[in-house]
Amino acid sequence: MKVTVQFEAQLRQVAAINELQVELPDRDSLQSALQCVCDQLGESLHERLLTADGQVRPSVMVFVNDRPVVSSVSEPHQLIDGDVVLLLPPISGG
Amino acid sequence: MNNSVPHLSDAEKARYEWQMWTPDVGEAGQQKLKAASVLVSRLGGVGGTVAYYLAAAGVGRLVLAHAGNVKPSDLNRQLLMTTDWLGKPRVESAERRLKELNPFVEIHTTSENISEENASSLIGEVDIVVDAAPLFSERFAMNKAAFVQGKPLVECAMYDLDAQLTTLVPGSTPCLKCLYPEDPPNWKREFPVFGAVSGMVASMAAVEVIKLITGIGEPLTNRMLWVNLRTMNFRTLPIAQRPGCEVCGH
Ligand SMILES: [Zn+2]
Repeated sequence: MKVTVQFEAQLRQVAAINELQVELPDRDSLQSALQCVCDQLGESLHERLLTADGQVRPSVMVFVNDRPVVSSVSEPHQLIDGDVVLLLPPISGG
Repeated sequence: MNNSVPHLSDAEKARYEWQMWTPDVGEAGQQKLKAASVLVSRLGGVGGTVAYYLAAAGVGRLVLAHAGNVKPSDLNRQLLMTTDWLGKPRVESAERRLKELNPFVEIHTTSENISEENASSLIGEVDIVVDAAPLFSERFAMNKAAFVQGKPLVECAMYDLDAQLTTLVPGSTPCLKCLYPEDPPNWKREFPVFGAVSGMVASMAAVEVIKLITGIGEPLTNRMLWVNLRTMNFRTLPIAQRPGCEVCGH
């Protein structure tokens, strides 16, 4: 399946790209998709996006097809072909 | 909000005439604005511009919190800070500028940023809080105190050419800790910013406050607006309470 991952704000700067399409096994998890993205785009993206044990950082808001998603080890969110994952990093510029 | 209905003088009616033409605002809406009080923290590119528009709109009382003196690097975006006030307190420059614009607005200033220590007392003075602080510690202190006191919190933030906005209402929306359960790592106090970008989100935040006070329209509750001005893509995304949230979870 193909999944699109979109980056905003600092994540876009670190990724140096607006979005990336990745090829994954069917019904793979959100975590696997993000791990795959980090493998392609580098360690500094990994630091901002994922914890040492591969979980999505709680301060990064994740939306799949514009719906909020919370994904954990115990309840991983499964993706399907064509999903669009939007990653919003925490911002607080005032 | 203050329950007594304040009188509008002829000078005030003349000043606010064009906005009172908004059909569901009218004189009654203007009186609500005059009766209202709003805390704005801080008075940078976002908060200062929110305060400017709220003063222009005739919000009766503004409580303004911002530490420090005006620096040259403030001046690309902090429209309440003026070149002649470099090296002098930011809140003095802000108060002067707001009074020049609208002498009818009552202004209270404090030369402190929001902290766990002062959040409750400052929020206790107002009806609505506008959060435009650059540090999450300040934002979390306001979130907690606003939640405890049941006061709406208009959350506005930006980075580079991106901005976000949401209105948090205790008991009916998520709180800030639902969105960010941890103090985000990697956030620096300094961030890339054009004044036109901070001013854009500030204008929308001011509209949210005006809507909350007058009751017009639909506030941006349970939704987050994310704006990317590089692409001019505006998205409104649903947001939800986080089960077990340390502030608003039950
Ligand atoms: Zn909460």
